[in-house]
Amino acid sequence: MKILIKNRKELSEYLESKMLSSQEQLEEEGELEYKQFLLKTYLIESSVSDLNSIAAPEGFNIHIQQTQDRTLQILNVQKDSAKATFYLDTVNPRFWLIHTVDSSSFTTPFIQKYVSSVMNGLDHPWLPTQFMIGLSQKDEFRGFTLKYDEEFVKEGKEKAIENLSMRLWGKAAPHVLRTLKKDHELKNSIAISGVGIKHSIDGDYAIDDIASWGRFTAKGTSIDGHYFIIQDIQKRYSEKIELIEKSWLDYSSDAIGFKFRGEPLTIVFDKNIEDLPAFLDELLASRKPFRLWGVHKFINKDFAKIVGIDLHTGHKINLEITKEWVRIYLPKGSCGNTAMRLLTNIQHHYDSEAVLESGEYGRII
Amino acid sequence: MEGLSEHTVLVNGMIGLCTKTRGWPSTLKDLGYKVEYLEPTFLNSEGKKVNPDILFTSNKLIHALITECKGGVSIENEQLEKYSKINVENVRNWVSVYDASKLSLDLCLASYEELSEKILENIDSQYNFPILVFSLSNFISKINKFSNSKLDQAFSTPIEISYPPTEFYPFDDEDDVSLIALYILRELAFLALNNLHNESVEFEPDEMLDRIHPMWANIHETKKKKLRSKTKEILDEYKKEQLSEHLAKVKGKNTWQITKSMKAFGDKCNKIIKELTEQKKISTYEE
Repeated sequence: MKILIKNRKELSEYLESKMLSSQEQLEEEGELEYKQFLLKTYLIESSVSDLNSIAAPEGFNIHIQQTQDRTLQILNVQKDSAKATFYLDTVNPRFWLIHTVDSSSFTTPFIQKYVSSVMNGLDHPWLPTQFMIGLSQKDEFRGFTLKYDEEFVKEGKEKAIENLSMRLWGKAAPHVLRTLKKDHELKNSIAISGVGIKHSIDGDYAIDDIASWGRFTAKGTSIDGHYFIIQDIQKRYSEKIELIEKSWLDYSSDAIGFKFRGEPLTIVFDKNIEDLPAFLDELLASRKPFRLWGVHKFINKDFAKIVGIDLHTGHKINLEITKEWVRIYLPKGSCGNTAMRLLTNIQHHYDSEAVLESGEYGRII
Repeated sequence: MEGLSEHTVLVNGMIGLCTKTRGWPSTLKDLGYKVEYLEPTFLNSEGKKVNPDILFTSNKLIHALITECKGGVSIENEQLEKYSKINVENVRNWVSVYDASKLSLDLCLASYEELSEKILENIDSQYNFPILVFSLSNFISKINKFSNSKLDQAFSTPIEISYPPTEFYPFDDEDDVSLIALYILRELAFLALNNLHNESVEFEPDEMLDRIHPMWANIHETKKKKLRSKTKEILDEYKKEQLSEHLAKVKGKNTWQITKSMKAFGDKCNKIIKELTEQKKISTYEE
């Protein structure tokens, strides 16, 4: 039976009822009923003002319904015989929330395609490993997942860690994570792709399984708890983005000359690059995961200059790279998410201990 | 520094001293300096126009520092004479400090080690500008003294340097075509990706330079002439490499897009950079 949501209040009541019924089902039966799915919320970074300007991914049809609240819309999405309903909250114009209680086998591929189309003004948040670990310090830490794929493996040369995937849920999670991070062989490959945290409020609670690309899968009894977790992360993330964007290079002219401000950010590696030319070939290959296009020039044998384009946003980006760090120069108007995406991808594909610094503001991540 | 002119390295290096850039000292930043202007043009005390490279100010020291970066073979006496006639009155109205009545001023030169002796010869008899010397053994050292004691002390022992920033001031007329080509090729890719170009893949050099250099409008006409010529050389190389086969008109629109993969386009562009670098090496050898 289709539920017609007219406003936020009705949406919250609806989503909470779904959370509660899922939780009861899990507690009683240990699994969900047929065609019963968990609540999922996708956090999206947006520079789009008109939803209709975003093209549907190939094969999908999207029908947009307005509600009584102009910042709340319903997307009815169909592909072949499969369909799902999404509730799009744009009250924060930079960070949208998309809620759904339909099957993630449909909703997640749709959202990933919808967001990752080139230059459509949308992007996922990119939550680096240290950011994810920081989340676990505020609320009860329930578990984590790791995903690391070494992208810079030279053919014929074996690496200590080429791939690492792991999921651990339970009380031992904090201890195991600390132990893994301390191990010298493993520490540069412990890239967190998800954490589970529980927020409790007077007997009610929300348990969110948070993916590093911004999907929140909720269980529990409190929709407010779920909202709190998302809003807390969105606030912390947007503070980081703001600091990054304060570093833009900006030139303006006046009566006597050019005013200038800005400085580079730096990603500092814990694990030095062995083969800089090979690293650059992979970094600038114009494909996933980095999606960077660039031309480069070696200024000296260990120092290269890259003049590039972020293929996801279409924005310009300039880099300088040594075996120990990468400087990032962002021109005014470019998206701070670009730097977070580069850092997070480096963490998942090269060095999970890499950090992001700003000269003016110190360590950002 | 392959492909970068001494002037470009010096300007970027001096601006870098005013920032906290990893791999580069922040000597000026630590004294509270910021870049007030790049390439300001103002009148000296004799009413003559001067156009130094950078004007820094420190609100902490209530001090202005004018820097002229000398990447060339020498400095002309006429230029030195004009600079020697700059006083604090000439810059007071263009800086932001909390008490302009207390403002003091230094003018310094920045140069590479091998040129600094020649510069010293020029200035020693009549002027005593301090010179910041960037040496190949990776230090910045100082000749002569700054009038501001804290600034002078900050440079009194050699400062270790390694990887200069290169993006604050991307290039000038003395830089190698292979460096300028990085920006031109990226602009072609950018325009094609964003379908922003309405005419054709042929560019007038001025149009291209205005897009890629943030201070193109202010660059002196003599330098603009050289940059136009270098841009033409790069665009000719691009035509020769048949880069245009990677670009095609969008059907029904007066815009262009990259037809083959971005990687293929990038590989071709990197080939051009390499060939321009090799041509420079050959011509340098033949000299």
